[in-house]
Amino acid sequence: MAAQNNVTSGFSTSSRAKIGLNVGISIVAVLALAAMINYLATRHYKRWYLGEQALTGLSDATKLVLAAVTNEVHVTVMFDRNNPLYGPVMGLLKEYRNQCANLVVEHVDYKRDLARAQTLMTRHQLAPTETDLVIIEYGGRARLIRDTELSDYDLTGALTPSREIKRIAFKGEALFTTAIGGLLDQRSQKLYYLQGHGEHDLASTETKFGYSRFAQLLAQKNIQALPLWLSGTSDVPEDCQVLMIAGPKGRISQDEVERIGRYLNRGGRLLALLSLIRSGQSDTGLEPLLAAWGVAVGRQFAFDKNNTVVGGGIICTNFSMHPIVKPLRGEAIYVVLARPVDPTTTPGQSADAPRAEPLFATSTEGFTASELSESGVARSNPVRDRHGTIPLAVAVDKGSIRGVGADKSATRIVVAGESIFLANETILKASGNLGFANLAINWLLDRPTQLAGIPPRPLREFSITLPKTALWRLTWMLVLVMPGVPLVIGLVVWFKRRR
Amino acid sequence: MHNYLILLRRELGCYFLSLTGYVIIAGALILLGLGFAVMLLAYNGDTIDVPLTELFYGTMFFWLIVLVATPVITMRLFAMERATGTFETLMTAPVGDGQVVLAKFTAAFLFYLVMWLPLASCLRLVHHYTAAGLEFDRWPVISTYIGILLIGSLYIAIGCLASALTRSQIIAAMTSFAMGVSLFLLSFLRFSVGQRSGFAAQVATYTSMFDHMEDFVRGVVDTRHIVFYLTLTGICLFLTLKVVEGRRWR
Repeated sequence: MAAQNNVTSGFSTSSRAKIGLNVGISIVAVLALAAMINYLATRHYKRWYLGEQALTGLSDATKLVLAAVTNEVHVTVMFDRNNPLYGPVMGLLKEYRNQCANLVVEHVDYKRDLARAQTLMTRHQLAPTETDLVIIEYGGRARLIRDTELSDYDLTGALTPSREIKRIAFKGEALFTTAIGGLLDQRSQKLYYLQGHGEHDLASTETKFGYSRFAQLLAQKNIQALPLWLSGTSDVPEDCQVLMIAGPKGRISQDEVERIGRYLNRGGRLLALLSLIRSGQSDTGLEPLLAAWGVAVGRQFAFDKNNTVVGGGIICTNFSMHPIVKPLRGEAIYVVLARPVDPTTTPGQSADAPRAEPLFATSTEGFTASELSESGVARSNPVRDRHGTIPLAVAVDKGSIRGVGADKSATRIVVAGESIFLANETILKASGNLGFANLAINWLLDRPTQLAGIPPRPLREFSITLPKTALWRLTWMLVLVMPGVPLVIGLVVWFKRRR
Repeated sequence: MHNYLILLRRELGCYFLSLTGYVIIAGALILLGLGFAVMLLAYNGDTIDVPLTELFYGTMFFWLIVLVATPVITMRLFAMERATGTFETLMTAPVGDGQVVLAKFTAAFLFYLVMWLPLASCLRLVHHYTAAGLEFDRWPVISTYIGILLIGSLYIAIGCLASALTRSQIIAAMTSFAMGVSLFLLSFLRFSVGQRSGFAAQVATYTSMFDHMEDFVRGVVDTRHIVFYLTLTGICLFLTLKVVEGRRWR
């Protein structure tokens, strides 16, 4: 019996130890080999993009910018997961990260991760309403890209009964690359704001008329804001990318207007915000120059019977198809006692003439009033005043090819008949005010070098609109019928084999 | 090769000539159907701009099928042979250990593939009801299948290893499930470590199955993901072979 037990194993202890060692070494060798293969795979890889909706690879311009990144670029995606742009943004940033190891992407769901969201809001001085944005940081500087900037829309559906506005393209790559490129480039863009006529002060934190919130927006976009006095002999500087005239109280002299005119003629960009309240119901001196560029600024106040709010302000939701206000569909701009601003471009003019287009306007129930009573009640003058849709802001473009983008030498002007709507308090009063400021600056700064010629990525949308009966039929088909088929086959097989 | 084919046929027979195989497929299809039903109920009335494959992947039923079905498919491969005593007969037959391991793996993998085939029909069906007029984009479906097969091959290999380690099918299934879930949970490191820079972040991203599947469902095929799954599958099969061979000398 004992002898039988001794022959249960054919290997001696030492042989088994040798074989065990051999197996152990071979396992370690295989693991090392696998690690090496994976290491090589991370260094030499290929990605194939299949199908229409696969993210296409990054453009050469983006690859060039990312190749220049030597230190850590931190990208924070402060997005709600349910935002339709969350997927495309994260997908695109994944491609960026694949291309550049120094890119760190962090997602902060501001609805769930409240503490982290609050930290970001404090650090970047964001208003509580400013959510769904991408923050790109490098070397202590940051650029913010809001979700309203990220899409191109097809507005033709807005005229149909369904009023459906479709997103047709995603502009993330152009914006992210431009932002990273801008951060790598230590030189920032310059916006000069005219001073000397009681204009809004970009350094002022005063609630009603200060423009520090607007200045923050510029800082977030890496734009340097510098004051400009044209009262001496100085001209508008050569490095001025945008000239801003925000709510002058006094009259701008003829000499200054001529210098501004020369600046515009050489492809300048102007943001003019003209408030009749601030100028004491007088012209600012800019009006003839703007008229020459196809913009008529009225000396009345605009009202809207349908959209008046407490305090005398009006809510504008009537946006044109212009690229500046396209993303603002569904939002509102709040203005107070705005001047009517009309485009005066006549049809049939030469191709190189300035093209003026309205941006936003009152509803069809709008009207103008030439005077205000002391209590602020509108007094209409039947000869000078009018009823109907009153445009309140206009964009002028000269020298750009429609749909292609701005030429370097193209002149662009944005004129709004109000300036207080971008002041510290009012800019946050309606969702569209800050959005308008942001998009208007983007449009004014749009030069070929900015967007690096990266085209938007087309989006293919479809909708699931099933009637209830069809939905339940489909659900039952998926949950019961489909699993039932293999079950029936299984039973038949089982029954046959049993027999 | 001839022996391998005979063994493969025998193993396939175990799946398709018994009720068990069809019950597994039916179970997976219930989860698949539920996934699509949840997706339809959630998005009905909405406009969507992502592929249907990505929508389904976002319902968590995908991972449930992978994590639960693979241990169930593989638990009997070696454990049942050991429990019933047919393992010795098999091992003393004129077939190599490698052939046995490979045949069992291939059979389980083919069964797994058959289990997933109705996914294409589901996608087609939902597309027919929801995106009428738009051409069915088959490429994301193909890349999704590539992802499903790669993840499946790894999980089946893990199941083979777990089954080879024990004679109890329940223990085999639980071991396989625990290993699979652990690997799956590693993917969550992407949300913490993966958001930083450095080697650890690169490893966390590289091993994140979420990242891999996100690419596949969007129509992106990356050689790194393919290498990752194939090498891990290879390691698991090699370990399984060593466990099977161990019977001879331990």
